[in-house]
Amino acid sequence: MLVAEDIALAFADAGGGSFTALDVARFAPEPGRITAISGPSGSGKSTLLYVLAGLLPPQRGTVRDDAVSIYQLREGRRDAWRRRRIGFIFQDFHLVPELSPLANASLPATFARAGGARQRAAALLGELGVPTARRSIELLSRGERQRVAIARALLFDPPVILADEPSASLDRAAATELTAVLRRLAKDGRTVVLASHDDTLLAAADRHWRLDHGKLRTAA
Amino acid sequence: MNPLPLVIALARRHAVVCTAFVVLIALTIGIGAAITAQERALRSGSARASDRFDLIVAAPGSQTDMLLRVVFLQPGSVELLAGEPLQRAMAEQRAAFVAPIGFGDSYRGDPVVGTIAALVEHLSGGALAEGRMFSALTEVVVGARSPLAIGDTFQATHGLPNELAETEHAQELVVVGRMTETGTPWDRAVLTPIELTWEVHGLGSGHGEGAYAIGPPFDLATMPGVPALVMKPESLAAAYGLRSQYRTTETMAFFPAEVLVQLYALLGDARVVMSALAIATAVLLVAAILAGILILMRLYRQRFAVLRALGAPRIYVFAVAWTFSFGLIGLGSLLGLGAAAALSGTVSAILSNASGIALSARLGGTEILLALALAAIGAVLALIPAALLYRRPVVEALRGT
Repeated sequence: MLVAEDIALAFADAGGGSFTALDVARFAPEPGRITAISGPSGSGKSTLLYVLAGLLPPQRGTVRDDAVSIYQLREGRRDAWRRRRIGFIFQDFHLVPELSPLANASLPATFARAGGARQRAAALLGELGVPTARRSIELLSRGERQRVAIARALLFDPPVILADEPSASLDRAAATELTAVLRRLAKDGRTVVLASHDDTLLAAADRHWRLDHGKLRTAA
Repeated sequence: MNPLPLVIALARRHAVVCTAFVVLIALTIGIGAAITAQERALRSGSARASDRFDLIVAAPGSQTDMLLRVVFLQPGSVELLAGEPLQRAMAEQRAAFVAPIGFGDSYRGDPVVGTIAALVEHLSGGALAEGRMFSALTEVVVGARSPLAIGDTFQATHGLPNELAETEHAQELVVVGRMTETGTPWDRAVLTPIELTWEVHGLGSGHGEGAYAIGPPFDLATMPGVPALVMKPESLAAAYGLRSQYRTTETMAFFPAEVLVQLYALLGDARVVMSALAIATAVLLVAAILAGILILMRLYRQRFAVLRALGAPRIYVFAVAWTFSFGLIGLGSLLGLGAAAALSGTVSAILSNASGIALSARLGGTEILLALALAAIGAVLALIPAALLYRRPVVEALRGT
């Protein structure tokens, strides 16, 4: 289980001072549930996801994954931990347009040894309803592209999914489909954490936190 | 770890730019390597051309000028060797033959050279390719690449090729033989008995008043002056002895090779400069291309950050950036060798045609080294964009700042 405790992170501002990006006493998203984080732009939603993913060491506090304190790991081991344990989904998908849907979904296998990655990617795309016959990502709808990105995030079967504004580039129908996919992932026992403004997604969450100036509060 | 899918994807995305980069590198290497290969071909071609001109004896003057006149049949005026020094040289016993050379005429731009049968046979490798040796005043032997055929008749023109105010001589000449290929400008020459050169210029026959013959012995007392003599010494010792003997205030004697060596020494310096310039140009180009790649990589920093967020190690990002940069430089260098081979072949053919010297430019160790050196420098310079991406903080790149 992923737990962040006593997290403090401040950034320098343009005036030479600093501002608090995160000040979180404890954040422990539960497996099998969707935990949503909302808040205005700049409130620290993405920053919290980066800290949870081991990409941004906090100035104070710890992030643990079961017994592993991830910022105690050397960078190479932390990369390997993230590969195995975290699946990241982005607002703009960040797919490689020159690669096919299948090649995009299996892209993580190019930097980590993974037997049968292509078959698994094909199976995931099939489960997510993405037409693999299309040769280019650019021939897919935005909803389909986001599902390719989800397949890519799931390639190594990570128990934690972090989604940063995953529906921001989608229309209503695609956002609804995405909600169903995330729900299914949670139902499979994964920990799903999403940062979003989208009411459809927020309504589907089991737990809803609000970030305000780096501080987490329970949303109404 | 396999960076190739992403490298190929990047190359496909920017196919036009990548192709331009590769072509520029290939052309730079190709031109640089072709220049050095051509310079080497010129050396070996000119050395081969002068091989059969053992010792040249002439009136004092520039050895280089004389070499250009005798071996490479370049037009120009020279002092004549005449009188007692000529008589002494013509009577030389330590030479298998002493061949007088006479210039002054041409036929359709090709030089007409007067000499004796022994030199023609010697240059032709001992025997003619077809026909027979000239045995009458109006008979000629032509070089291997002359457009004239055996049995053709023609009139020579007074004046050297490219000179104005040409007038045709009255004698009708007939082709009776053709030399084997020598790889020299003599391949396009028309070779007549030296007596014809003297006769048509009103200098007598070389055999005494009213006497007519072809070839030696000449009447040394009345023999006209000649631009040069080609001696074939009996032995190596004789060659050095003759060279020494005819280096006087009245004559000069030299081995063509020694003049070429001096020219090569000058060319040698030029070659070093040319090679250095070729490498410098190529390195500057690679640096400019890497600057372009740096800009490309800046465009992709968010994509690389996403890979890091998905668990890619830094070294993977490094490998993609380095492989992409080095791939362009390496491919350009490899294609550059192909371009060099094509350019060398074309330039050799053009120069051979223009000079008559058989040139065969082949890529050698120097050219391969040039391409390898550029690839190696490229491999090192490609570390720069790779290192910049390697060091780039992931979160900043993810945020696009």
